[in-house]
Amino acid sequence: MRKLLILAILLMMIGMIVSCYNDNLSELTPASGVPGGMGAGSCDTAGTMSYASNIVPVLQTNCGINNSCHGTNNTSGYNLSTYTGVHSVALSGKLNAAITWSGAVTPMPNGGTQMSSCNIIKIQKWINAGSPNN
Amino acid sequence: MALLNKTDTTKEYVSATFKGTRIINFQSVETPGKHVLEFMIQHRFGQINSGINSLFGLDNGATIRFGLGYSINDRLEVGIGRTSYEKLLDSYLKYRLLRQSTDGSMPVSVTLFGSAYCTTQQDPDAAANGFNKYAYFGDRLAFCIEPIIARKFSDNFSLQLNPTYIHYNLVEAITDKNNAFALGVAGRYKLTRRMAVTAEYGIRYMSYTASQNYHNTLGIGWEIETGGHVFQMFITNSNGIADSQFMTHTTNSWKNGGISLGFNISRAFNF
Repeated sequence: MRKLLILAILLMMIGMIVSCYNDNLSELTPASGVPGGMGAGSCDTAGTMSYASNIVPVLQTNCGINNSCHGTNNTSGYNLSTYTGVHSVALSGKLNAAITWSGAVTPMPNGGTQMSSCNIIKIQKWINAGSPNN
Repeated sequence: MALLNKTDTTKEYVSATFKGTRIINFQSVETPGKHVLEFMIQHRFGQINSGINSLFGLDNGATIRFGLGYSINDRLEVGIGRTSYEKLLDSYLKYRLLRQSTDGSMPVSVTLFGSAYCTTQQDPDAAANGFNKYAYFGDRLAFCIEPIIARKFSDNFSLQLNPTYIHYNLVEAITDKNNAFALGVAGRYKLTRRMAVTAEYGIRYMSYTASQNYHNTLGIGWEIETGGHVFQMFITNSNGIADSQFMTHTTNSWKNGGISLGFNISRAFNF
């Protein structure tokens, strides 16, 4: 019984070593616009970023714009479900500070890991272009 | 005469260095007793700094972990669990390598802890980005190894060190490294036979990330043991419950009130 246990543990350890990788998301994502990006794919940050087709999907998946985080009845004080709300924090610099975790405001997403470089760059490009309603 | 000279060689071991198998988030040196199945619920509420409107975090989204741990013999525990944050499945082995003895010949208890983590969530950005960061299954995995060292100094006071090594198969930012080291320090002070105060602090070795927005985990708690239950209530700045989450990826800090109320309940079943 004891030998069986030791064998099982050894097999588990070998299994873990074999499935050990050293992957970095920036290396897996495509080169366009992502620092250090070398992989293939279609994270496209080339050209003009459109609010409707580039920014809103990112907000939807990362910013709780349908719940109490950043939706219409939010507890945070920032409504990101409308263009006006997003444009306001873009102009004030809070949006960039929050997603880049610069320390000036509470890091966003709150209580979680930072968004991927791909998403951050999309939003930054849109902010730098004047955060238009396009 | 030979019988008189023979000394009693059975050693007496120190028992109950800690009441439960967790301190607050940290693993403790303890495992459930022989053939005991431990069912554990770990719950963390939202942050206290979210104000009175959300009852200081009690209304907000919580992190929950359910876990089962079974002690095969007196020394080896095998367990599984699932954490809601990152939808993380974990499985672990805990082996009581050395036990502190009452006569002082072994001054510490050492338990080896090893765990594998698998996040079962879909990549939320897959549609927006056009690629799936979990395209390789191996990128869902992380591993943790901890040799836990503890000493029961007196009936009332125990102290523990958790040197931790975590390997993440996939990390996000270009400046993140796949290996992280940390040293956890934890202790408990017994107030009465059934109640104790506990505290834990994780000191990270910072080369695993360049981000300044992660903090060391600090928790302060209070525990009660009643019959087959251990009930722990505490305040901690960590949202994550699995070792791969709270030790290295705590984004809230005590300074700005990013602390959450939480509790652990465990129940032991004899088989």
